[in-house]
Amino acid sequence: MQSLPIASVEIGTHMVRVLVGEHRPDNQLFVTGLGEVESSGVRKGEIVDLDNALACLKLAIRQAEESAQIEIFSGHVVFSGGHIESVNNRGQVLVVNDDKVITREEIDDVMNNARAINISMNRQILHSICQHFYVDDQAGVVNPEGMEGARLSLDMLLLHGIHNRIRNTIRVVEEAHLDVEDAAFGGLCSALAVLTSVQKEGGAIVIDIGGGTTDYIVYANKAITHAGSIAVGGDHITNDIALGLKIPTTRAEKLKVEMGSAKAQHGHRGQMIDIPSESGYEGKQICLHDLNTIIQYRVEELLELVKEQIDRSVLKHKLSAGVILTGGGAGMHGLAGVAEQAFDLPCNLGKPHNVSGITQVAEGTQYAVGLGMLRYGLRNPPREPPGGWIRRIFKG
Amino acid sequence: MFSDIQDLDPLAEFNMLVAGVGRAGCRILSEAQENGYVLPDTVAIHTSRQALADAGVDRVLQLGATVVEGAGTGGDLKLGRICAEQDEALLRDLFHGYDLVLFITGLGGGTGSGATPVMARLARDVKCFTVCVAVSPFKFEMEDRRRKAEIGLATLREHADAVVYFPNERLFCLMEGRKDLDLGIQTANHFLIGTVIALYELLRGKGLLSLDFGDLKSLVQHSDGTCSMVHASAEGSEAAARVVEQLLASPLLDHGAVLSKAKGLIIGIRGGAGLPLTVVNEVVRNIGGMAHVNAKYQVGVAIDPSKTTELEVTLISSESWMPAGPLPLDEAGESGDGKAADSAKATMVQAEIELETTGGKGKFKNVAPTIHDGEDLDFPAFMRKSVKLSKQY
Repeated sequence: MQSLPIASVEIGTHMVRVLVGEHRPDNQLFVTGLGEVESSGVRKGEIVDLDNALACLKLAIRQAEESAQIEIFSGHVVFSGGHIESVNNRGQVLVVNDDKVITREEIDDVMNNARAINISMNRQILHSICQHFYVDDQAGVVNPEGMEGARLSLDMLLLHGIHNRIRNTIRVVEEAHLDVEDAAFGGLCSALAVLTSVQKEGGAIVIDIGGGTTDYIVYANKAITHAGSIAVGGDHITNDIALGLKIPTTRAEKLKVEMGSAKAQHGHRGQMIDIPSESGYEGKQICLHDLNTIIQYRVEELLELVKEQIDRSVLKHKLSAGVILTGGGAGMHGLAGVAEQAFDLPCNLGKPHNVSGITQVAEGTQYAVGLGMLRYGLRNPPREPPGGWIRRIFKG
Repeated sequence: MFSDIQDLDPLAEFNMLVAGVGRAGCRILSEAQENGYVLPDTVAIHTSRQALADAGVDRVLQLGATVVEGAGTGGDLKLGRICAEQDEALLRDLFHGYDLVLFITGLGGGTGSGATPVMARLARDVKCFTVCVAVSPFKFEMEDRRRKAEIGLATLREHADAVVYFPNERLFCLMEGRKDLDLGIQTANHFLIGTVIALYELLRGKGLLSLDFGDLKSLVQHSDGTCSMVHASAEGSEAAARVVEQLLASPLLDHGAVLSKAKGLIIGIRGGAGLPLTVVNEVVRNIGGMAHVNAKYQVGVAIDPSKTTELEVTLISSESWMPAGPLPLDEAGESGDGKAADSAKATMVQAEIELETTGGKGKFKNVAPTIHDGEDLDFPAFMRKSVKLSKQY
């Protein structure tokens, strides 16, 4: 069935992106609009200057409206940031009705139980993701409704983050005169965009390397078992290069994109690169091997940080699809090789699948988050149609 | 050889404040006072009224009297920080007018790890060169304290000009054969006081050939943030030879091995009136001779009339060493096992006393730091892992 178009909003550290897309009958996600503005007022995935972020967002919305030829009234918002953490929790209820058959009521109760965790006052739960039910001691039950048992348990993965920081993102979107239809964690969105159902079944780690944060999510045993965000991203690589080689940040960024590799090679020793002079900056020569050494140490550390968050037993046996790298930083030369070594798993670049429309978007890893958000929004339409859903009016 | 020796400089009066912060800082100051060490202006700073009273130091400052009401922070970093922030005006007044503020603190507690970074920032704000001498907790202390110490150290690095870091465990290890705890701690404290005084004398430069912050700073900058520091003294006619012998035998310099790789050196010599040039010459020649061929060194000589025949030499050396990491960065392929072993040894010795610069966060300077296991991830990864690039940029 063809759907009405919806818009995803991503206020990233590097870019503010607004995507407009709709669901096509052939199960394709069709992208009709793109707005993309270099970000300002965002550090490490969190908004530090509301006014600047708002100005960028307004511009991106206007661009997206122009390219999609619609007027956008509501958005599905992606959020990220190092404050986002996950925890596994098990809830349990006793089946007390006479015939010991599990009904919807018990399932709702066990979900509420599994959601009840102690988190500090300033945090809120963002996603509660069901993993597996247990009926008495039978593990791995997918749908217990109608089964007989005395005890029903449920494992849930709960993602939580700091309330105020999430509110900041929502506030900027609201001030740009968009209704917030829904919001989702960036890592989850990336996985929706790049993982095929086969990969999800087999188990995979999706690592989305953005400008300011690296989001990760792990599918194992047919469920999401880990998720979170680390406040280290591509900006850190650029900053390391700028400090290490003592060059301006803009030069460092260019050097990273054009020449950088995540693996320093012996062959590059002594190979010099000229950084030409320009006004206010006298040129200099830098060694390619040094550049890549700086990058390698940062990338290795970052992957190690992600690895630390994932249980060893999961890493060993449960991930047949290996590591899928996506996000703006995933295109780095040599990264897949370094990741393969770090995780001892096959590693591939995760490109969005089943996407058509604007080619640039359908091909690029940096759009994975926004595309995943569209997919999330289209798949899970809000139960109660809020104002924005109805108020969306097409131009012409 | 003497090309780096500076001309005689009629120095203006040099003001230095030594601030002992927290329980350990106060104890070190009180011990210095009891043992008759001559320090410049000192002040003991703590949140706990009782600890300040116990220290018996002349000049004290009680932090956060309105916040914790003299009760101490109970190991709460945040509370320590808030206490210092509450008394911002008081602290600014205290630091104002000093050229150098040297904080001595034990990391791991609320005041030491929480308040010291704030004070370092305030001291820098009023144009003081800020050096922090930080002592880590012992290995047997609680994991919680060790984590706090790591966070404290990371924040200190951001705010102080230089951080001299003493892992307590290593200092304790120096005391071979003496395992009693109080003596171990006392030895550590005395070593610290000695280092502080040596640093003070070096920088005060009431000598013929003076050294200044510039020298220290430049050494710190060229050292990849890691330095070794030792001092030794001897008396009599053979003093020069004996001092050099002591220095070279010191475990802190790995019996001279560190010296042989040193690329930068500060040699501070202190002697009585009538210190012969030949002695200075001998010390510099012997130490310089041990150093790396291309080593750059600064020499400072100070005359202390109270010393008759005693000769005291302080050595701060920085060395460009390679970590035994996955990437040998100096020369491709040629680093065999021997070299790797050397560098591993050097790493171990270097870890004993580190002198670290701040800055180096670039665009993340004013952003909330990303701390993981006590490490500030905003600093370049390769620098934190002390990886040497092929050339100086």
